Amino acid sequence: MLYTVFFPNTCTSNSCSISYPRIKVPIFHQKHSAPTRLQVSASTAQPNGVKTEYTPWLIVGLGNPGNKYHGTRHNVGFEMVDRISQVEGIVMNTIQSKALVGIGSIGQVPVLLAKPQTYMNFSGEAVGSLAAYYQVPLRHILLVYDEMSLPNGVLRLQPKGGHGHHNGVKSVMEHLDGRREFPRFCIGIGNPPGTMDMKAFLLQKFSPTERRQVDAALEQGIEAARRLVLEGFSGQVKRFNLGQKYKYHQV
Amino acid sequence: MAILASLPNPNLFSSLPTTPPPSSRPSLPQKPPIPPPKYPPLKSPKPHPSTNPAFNSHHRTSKYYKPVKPGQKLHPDDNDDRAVVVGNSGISYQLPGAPFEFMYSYSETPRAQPLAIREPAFLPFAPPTMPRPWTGKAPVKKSKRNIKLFEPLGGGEGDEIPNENLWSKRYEMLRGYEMGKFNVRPRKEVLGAPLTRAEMREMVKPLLSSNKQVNLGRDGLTHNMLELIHTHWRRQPVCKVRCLGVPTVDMNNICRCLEEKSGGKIIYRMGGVLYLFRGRNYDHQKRPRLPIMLWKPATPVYPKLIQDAPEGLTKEEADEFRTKGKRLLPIRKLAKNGVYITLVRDVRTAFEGSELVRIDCRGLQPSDYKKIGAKLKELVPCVLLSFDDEQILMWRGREWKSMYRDEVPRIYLPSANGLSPTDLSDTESRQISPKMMALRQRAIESGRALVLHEVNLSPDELLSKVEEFESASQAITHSYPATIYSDDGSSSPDSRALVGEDDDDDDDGFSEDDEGFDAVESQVPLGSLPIDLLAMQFSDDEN
Repeated sequence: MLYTVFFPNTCTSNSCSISYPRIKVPIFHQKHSAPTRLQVSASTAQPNGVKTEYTPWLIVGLGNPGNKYHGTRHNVGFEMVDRISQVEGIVMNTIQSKALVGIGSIGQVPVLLAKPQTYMNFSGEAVGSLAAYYQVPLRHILLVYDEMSLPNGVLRLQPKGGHGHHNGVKSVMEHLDGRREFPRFCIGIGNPPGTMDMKAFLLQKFSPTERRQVDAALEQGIEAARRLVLEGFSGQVKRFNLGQKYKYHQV
Repeated sequence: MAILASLPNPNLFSSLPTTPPPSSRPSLPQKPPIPPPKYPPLKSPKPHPSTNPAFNSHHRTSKYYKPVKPGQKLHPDDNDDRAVVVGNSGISYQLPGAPFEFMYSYSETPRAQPLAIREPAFLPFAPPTMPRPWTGKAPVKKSKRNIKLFEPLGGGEGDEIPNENLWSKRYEMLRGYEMGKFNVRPRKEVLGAPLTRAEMREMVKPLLSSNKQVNLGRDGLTHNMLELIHTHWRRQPVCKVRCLGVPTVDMNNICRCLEEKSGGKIIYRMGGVLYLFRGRNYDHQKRPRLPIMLWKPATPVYPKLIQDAPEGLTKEEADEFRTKGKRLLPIRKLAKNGVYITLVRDVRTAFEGSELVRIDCRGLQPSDYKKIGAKLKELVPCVLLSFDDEQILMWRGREWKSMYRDEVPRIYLPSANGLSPTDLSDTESRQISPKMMALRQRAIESGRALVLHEVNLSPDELLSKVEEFESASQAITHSYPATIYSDDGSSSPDSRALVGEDDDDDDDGFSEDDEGFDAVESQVPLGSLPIDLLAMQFSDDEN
C-alpha cells in the first residue's frame, strides 16, 4: 500500500523582479488537479525562512547492473548516487527488494539511497516496494537519471514531469500507480549524433571531454541535491536550473 | 617518309584509334534527330508605365537628407492644422480633430530620437479638401455617369417609424469610406460590462482554428491595421490577431498599443495570437473614421546601433570582446518568422552567468535582426557589440545588476571554498532517524534485506549476490512455517514448507496459524493417528 500525499497545485509563474505591465488572461483548459488538497508535513521554519521537511527522502539512481554497463551513459544515475553516498558518508551496504540500499541522513533529514539492480526496464519494481516499505511520500522520491534532451553535463531539478521515453522512468511511474508527481534530477547526455541508434548511444561509454564535463556536473549536482533535500523546491532550485542551462555559454 | 608524317597517328603500330575522340575538337552542332518544340516567345518584361516620380518610395535609400531637431513641427503646405511632428518616438502626424497623433507603426517605432528625415515632410494621408471621395481616378464624364444604387449596408440612420421599413426600400449610391469624422466614444461605454469566462470561451472557440485573422508582421501595429480590425469587427465580435516575427519580442507593448488605439479589449492571449473583443456596445457606424495612410513614409535616420567604442569602453576592449564573442556558443537560434516571446527573459538569465551573449540569426533579413537588436537594447538593458556573421553579440554593460536581490552563492558553481558536507554530517555523529533504523532492522531480521559486509564489490559480483538473495528471500516471503508432528508428540515449527501465500506483507498471519494448529492438536490424543502406527512400525524396523 503506498503512502501517498498530494501536494497542492501551485502554478509556477515565471516572474522576474523587474516587472513590466502584465496583461492577465484567463486560462481555459481544465487543470487536472488531485481531488484531495491535504498536505501533511512535519516541518519547522529555519531562521532564513526556509522550511525543512523531516519526512524521509528516497534518492534513486537508475542504471543497469553488471560490469558490462558500468560507466555507460544510461548509468549516470548510478554514478550520481555513488558520489552522493561518498560525500555524505552514507554507506550502501544493504540489499533489499532487488536494490542496493543505504540509509543515512543529510542534516536532520533521513535519506535513503538506492540503486536498483534490476535491469533498467524493471527498476520500478525495486523502487515501488522500497518506497512502500519505508513509507516515503511520493513527493520525496527523487529519481536521478539521464536525459537526452539536455546537452551533455547540464543538470535539471524538476518537481514533476513526464517519462521522456525513458524506460526506467516509465516503469517507475507504472509501479507508483501511474503517478508522475515525484521530483526528478535529470542529468543531460545530449542527443545521439547524426542518425545513430538511440539504444547504442545510451549504452556507449562517455568520450574523454564528455567524461570531464559529466564529472564536473556531478560535483555541482551533489550540492544541489543537498539543497533540495534540506529546503525543498525553492527559488534556489530555479536559479540552479537556469545557471545550469547557460553554464556552457560562457566566454 | 613525308607520307608517314602526314598520317594522323605517327605510331603505325599503336592500338589507339586513328580518328581522334569526338570531344577533343569542338565539332559543328549537329542537327538533333527530333526538332525541338517551339515554345511561345517569352514575354519581355515590359518597363512599367512611366510612373510619377512621386510614387517612387525610398524607405531607406534616398538622396534627401534633412536634419531635424527633437520636437520640431513641420507644416507641409502652410496649413497650421496638419503637421509632421518629430517626437522622441519617431515621426508622427497631426491632423485636425484627430483623437491621437497618427504614426506609421504604433508598436515598432524605436524610442530613440531621429536625427534626420529622408524625404520632404508630407503627410501620407488624403488631401484635406476634396468635394468628392477620393477614388484614385479622374472625374467621370457626364455621359458615363450611370449611377448604381445599392441597399444600405447597416442601419445607421437612427430609429424612425419602424413600420416604414416594411413597406419601403431605401437605396443609396456607392459612397467612399467617410473618413475624418472623429467622434471617439469613451472606451468604457463601448466595452460595457466585463465579460464572464463562459462568454469569453464562447466567443473565442470558433476562431481558434480559423485563419480569418489580422497578421502582424515586422512593422508591428500599422495605422491601416486599425481600419482592418474595424472591418473584422463588423462581422464578428472578436478579431484574431496573429503576431509573428520581430514585434513578438515585446508582446506586452503590442497588447497595450492595440487596446489603446483600437478601443477593444484582449480577452485571450496564447503565444503570438491575440483575440480582440470589440465591446458589448460597439457600433460600426459610430466608430472613429480614421483616414487610411496611402503610402509608407520613409523611415527617419536614427543614431547608429553599434558604436566602435560603446559606453566608455576603449576600442581595444571592445575589439577584445568581439573576438571573445566569436568563440561563444549562441544561446538561441532564431527562426525567420518565429515567435520570440521568451527572448528577453532568456537573455536576462544568460547575463547572470556571462557578460557576453550571442544569438544566432542566420536566415533572417539583416533589417530584421537589427531591429531585434535595437529592441533588446531597450528592453534588456545591454550594449550591442556586433552584428557580423548574422549573429547578435551583446554585452551586459557596466551598470548591470543581477535580477536576484541577494547575493547568495549560486549552487551551480563548483564549491570553491571546499566546504565538504561531510564536515556537517560528522558533527551530527550519525543521527540517523531511529524509525528508519528500526524499519531496516526489521527488514534484515525478517529476511527481506541482507547486509553486505564486503566493501567495493564489482558490479557483476553485486548483481550475482542480489540475484541469489532474491531467489532465497522469495522462498522466505512466500511461505509460512509448518508444524511437524514427531513421535514424542512435541511439536516444533522448525522446517518450512513451500506453500503459496496470497499476502506478502502479512506477518500477523504467522502467529495466528500457529495458535490455530496448537488448538487443533490438543483435541486428538497423542499417538493415536494411523500415521503414528506406521511411524512406530518403521522405527521398529530400524531397530
